[in-house]
Amino acid sequence: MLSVRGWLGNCGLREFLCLVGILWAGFGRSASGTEVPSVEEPDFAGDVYPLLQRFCFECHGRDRDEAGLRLDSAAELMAGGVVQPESAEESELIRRIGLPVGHADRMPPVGEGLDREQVVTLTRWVDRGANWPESFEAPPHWAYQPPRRVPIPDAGDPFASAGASTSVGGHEEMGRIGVESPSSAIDRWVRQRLPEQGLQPASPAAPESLVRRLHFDLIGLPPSPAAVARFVADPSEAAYQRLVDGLLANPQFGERWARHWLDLARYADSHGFQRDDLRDLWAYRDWVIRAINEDMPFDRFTIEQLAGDLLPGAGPSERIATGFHRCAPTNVEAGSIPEETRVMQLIDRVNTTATVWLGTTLQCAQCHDHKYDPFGIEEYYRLLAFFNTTEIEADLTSPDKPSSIAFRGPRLVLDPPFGDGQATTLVMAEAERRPTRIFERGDYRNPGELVEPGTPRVLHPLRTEVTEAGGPSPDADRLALARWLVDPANPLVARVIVNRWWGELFGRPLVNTPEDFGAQGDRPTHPELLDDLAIGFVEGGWSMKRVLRRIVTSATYRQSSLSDEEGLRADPDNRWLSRGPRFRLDAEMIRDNALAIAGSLDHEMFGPPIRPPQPAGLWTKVGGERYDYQVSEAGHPYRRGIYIVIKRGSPYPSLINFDAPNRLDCTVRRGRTATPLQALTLLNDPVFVGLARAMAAQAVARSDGEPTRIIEEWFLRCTARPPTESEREVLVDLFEAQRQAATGRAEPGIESDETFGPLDAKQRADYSAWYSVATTLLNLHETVVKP
Amino acid sequence: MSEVDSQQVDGPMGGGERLPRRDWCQGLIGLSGLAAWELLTRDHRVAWGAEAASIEPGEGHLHHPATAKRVIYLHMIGAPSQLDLFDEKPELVKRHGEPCPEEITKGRDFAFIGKTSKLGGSPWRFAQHGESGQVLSELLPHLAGVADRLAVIRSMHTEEINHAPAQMFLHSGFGRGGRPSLGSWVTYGLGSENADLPAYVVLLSGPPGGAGTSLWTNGFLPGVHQGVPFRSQGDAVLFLTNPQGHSEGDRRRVLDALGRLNRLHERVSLDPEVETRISQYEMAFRMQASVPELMSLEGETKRTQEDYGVTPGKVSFANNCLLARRLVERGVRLVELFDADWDHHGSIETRLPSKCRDIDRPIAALLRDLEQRGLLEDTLVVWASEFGRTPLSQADRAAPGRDHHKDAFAVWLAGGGVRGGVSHGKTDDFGMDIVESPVHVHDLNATILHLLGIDHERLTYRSQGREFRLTDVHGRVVREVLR
Repeated sequence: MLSVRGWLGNCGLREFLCLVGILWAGFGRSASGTEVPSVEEPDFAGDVYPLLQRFCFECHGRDRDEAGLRLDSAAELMAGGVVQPESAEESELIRRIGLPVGHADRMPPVGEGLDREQVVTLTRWVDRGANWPESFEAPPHWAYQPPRRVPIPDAGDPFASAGASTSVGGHEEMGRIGVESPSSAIDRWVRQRLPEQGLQPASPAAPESLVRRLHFDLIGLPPSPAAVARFVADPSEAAYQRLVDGLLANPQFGERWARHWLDLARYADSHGFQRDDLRDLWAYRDWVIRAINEDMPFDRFTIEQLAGDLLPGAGPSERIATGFHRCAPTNVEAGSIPEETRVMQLIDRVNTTATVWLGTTLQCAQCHDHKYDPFGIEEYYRLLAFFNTTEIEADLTSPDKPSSIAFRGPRLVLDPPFGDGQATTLVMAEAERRPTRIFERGDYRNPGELVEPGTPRVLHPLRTEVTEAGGPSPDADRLALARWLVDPANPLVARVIVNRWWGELFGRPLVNTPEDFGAQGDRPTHPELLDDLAIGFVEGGWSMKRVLRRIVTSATYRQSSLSDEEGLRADPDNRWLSRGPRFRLDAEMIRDNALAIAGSLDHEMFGPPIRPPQPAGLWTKVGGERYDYQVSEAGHPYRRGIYIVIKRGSPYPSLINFDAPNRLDCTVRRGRTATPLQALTLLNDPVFVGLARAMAAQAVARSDGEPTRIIEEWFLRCTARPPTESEREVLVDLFEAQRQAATGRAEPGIESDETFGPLDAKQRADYSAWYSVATTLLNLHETVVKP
Repeated sequence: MSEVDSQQVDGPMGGGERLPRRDWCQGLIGLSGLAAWELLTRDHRVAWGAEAASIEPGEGHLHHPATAKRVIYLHMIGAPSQLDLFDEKPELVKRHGEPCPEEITKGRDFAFIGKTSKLGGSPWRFAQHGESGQVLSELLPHLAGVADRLAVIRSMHTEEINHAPAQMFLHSGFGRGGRPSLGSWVTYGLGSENADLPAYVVLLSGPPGGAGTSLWTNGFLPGVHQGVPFRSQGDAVLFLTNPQGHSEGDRRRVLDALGRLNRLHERVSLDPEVETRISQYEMAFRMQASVPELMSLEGETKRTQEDYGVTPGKVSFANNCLLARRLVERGVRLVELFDADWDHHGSIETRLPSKCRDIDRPIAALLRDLEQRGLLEDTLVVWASEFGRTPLSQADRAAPGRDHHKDAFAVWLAGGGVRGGVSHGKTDDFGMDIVESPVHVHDLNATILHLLGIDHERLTYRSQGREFRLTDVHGRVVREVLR
């Protein structure tokens, strides 16, 4: 066995001192660049123990003592010799957690390990004596404790210490927001943490930035030039409140926020797998848009989707809502085993439900008791039992022909107003309760012990006696489960939901592992704020719009996203919220934004999915089936991205290139990457080309053809601000250069335009020049970024 | 970045000229999509900046010295019959047409056939080849010529019995969607060696497998790690070609103006992503030149074209083999070829020879060509499929074939650190079950990563609340096939 002492070996003390030096230099700097001495001893229970628990105990704890070392009690820790109190420099534990990934000595050996700040916390703790209070008992995990409301520290005017305005485009700093309101509670919790990080809040965003940010966040579309002008002329508090209210009431709000929910619901228009046929589920997508627009209380929103069919007097709307779990991919490949497909769908439903409502990664417990979180394998199958009641969805049409497998399951005919009386949508329906057994090692072919429906013991109890108007639920069925999920006693659900919304708005959620609130997940950066939002959400009648309103009217949200170099260095991810959010738009928003800029956006809502032009041959023959891709007719290709058909085996490439998921499973958070394929998409995808051409045709047709005027208008449509002198110059130069290049050139240029018709020689040159200007503007960094 | 001289962006090449040549991944620093660099640094950027800077993607190694720097992965969609190509079964041939003994099918699932089906021996002859005496069927005469390069594993097994789940399982270690494919894991771990091309390129002959684009998906890894299909017809890469009427010069003017405007914005916003965006557009511009050049086989000698059996301008596996060589020559990390139509439930006697003719010659030419160019030394070539086929004859068709078989099939490896001429693993007399040295899909993937210098247990990514690996919690490196 490896001697723990031996680990020290020839551990470069030099290397270590260097590390600590860099750590301190990079940390604890104030915005003005002066050192802030951070000599406070970290809180053992709150800061230190959770790190040891998360990163060390799996291998050096009760269940395993790798290399003879345990770190889960004061005595064991000291006996192990890896910590020298008051001397982090000589502590092997500290050395190892700071080593680079890939270093053979690094701990933990697998995974991301501790970040900079976490290493500093443990370093500080050791330097201050590695104090492990005798009375200490491992606290229950924070996320399983009910949210608590604690008194808000009084921090005065949220902008009191803000520096001078750094507005873009020469606009005045907007009026101060200082009145006592629920949103100022947000600001106090945020501001409280800034000094300890050596940060200062940014000044308020310039009105043109704020109005653009708010439009993307609430409706997923850019503001019209008129809306920008109105708000820039009157950026008062009252005007902002009106703007927020108007956007929350806009039907496009539902289209923007449904996208987020449909990622979670793994909504798609095809089965997935080899037999990737299209299926009709779009009425569920429309239900989500409508429910969000109506601000359906989230508890109701939950209950209808999980068990709308079981509600007393369930009508078509409640039944359509149950499409949520019909979104599970279905394997109907010839030769597949119906029972296996059925079980896979059940497992998908349990995992998705746990991720969406509990922020818990239950799938570990499918094969064994969860390693880190208090969920046993038995509890996994008790949850599965709630779902083990519905009709089979893939079956043989003739029992002895394996190739006769077909997609089955209940459908609802869509009568007006949901459809035309012919179209259908997939719904859930109760068949019979099947006995549920634990699958040994997660394999359905190894059924073990019988279990009854039930919920995890660590959480609040399941109430099968329901007293609300719906009357008592006779059984532990899906309805009881749905009600249990949104029981105000559930410590997780409200936190999990508001955390994800926060992440949508700020780019980084307060708990930066929105899919995992367990012991292995991150702890909230602002726990009191998270709890305050969660409690407010439930108290506010589970209203999404109230929560969003509260957040977007906070000063924190309204900060400028511009930063100075110090601020960027001190907090590159903006974890402490000393500035406003700034990040690339989502795939659908990039499309919708361009459609809106070009004036081509078709606002029609709802209905069967649309098919924009895409390169030929992508929907090809698969598994003996040929799928033809027919571009939607007139106007429809220019509807919003949320309506684009999602074929799981061949999703629309222009969305995928911007990190849209293929919806084969529940996606909590999309990536946000940058690749050359994105540049090619925006430059050459026929849809974007068509938009730039539409803009060019508009420009050529105008009689007030002063180039600078059109350039200024377009620039404003793309960025919500006028161009600066130099920016205008670049574009005018481009226009002139391209017009000259296109004048009388021998190679064939653009001869005619779909809407404009044939172009004469002069028009050809102008068109070519305007096309280049339009393409440039549609590809601008600022155009695809939320400011 | 704060001091940007606007003069710098002038000139015929605009912003592109002075940009340091970054590789496909390096250009993404500052965003989340950053392969090895991100893996190695993450939040430790400040803590150990010096170490991070010294480990560049594509240089050094991740966990241990690599014997392979790149991979050409040949996937036969539909699953060829190992019993007619690699796993000779004289007993099965002898008992051809007899009912299958019950004890052999007990407890086993088949996709289509019943358990009372008849045994089906191979109608093709097998022979030993090369110094190693590697046993191959007469359907692969050219491959026989390079038999000493191959390490054939005849004891593969998997978990899934249907195509799409089995394809997903082979590629991502999971029989359903959502996980990254092998190629994405590899580029995530190792980054790229070429500034102008993606690190992970996919080439198709015929339609993609039933799992569709999810076979080259990045799953939860950053999007830069998705496989990029290069196509022989239409745009080689989707949206590669400028729209009609917009010349290369026109595009250059657009990109120059775009670069200038973005830099002006960068000065005001200090947004670190601006630099990324600019380099992304320059990479795209370079791809517009480099990809068509790459995809054109005209520059290859007549001799090479004949060796591979290519037909320029057509879609074929042979063309793709030659393209694969051109891609790895240019530093692409992982090239995956998908060849369709190997699902021979019926008419195996005519369809299998025809498919073998498509692949036999080009594969042999590829291995020889790589060797001649000194590339085979550090290029791993993998030939695999999602599962194998049954020793039972499937007789519900006009002419018989074989059903899906997950419990025993064959793959082979060659090049980059693989011991050529090895035969690993054994199946029973019928080829129904493995009797010696079983190799699970996780073991194969662990071995591939191992050859690339990656410890499969340590290449992890945190998602959905846990550390994910390509090999889940399994996988054992098959040392017997390593040099």
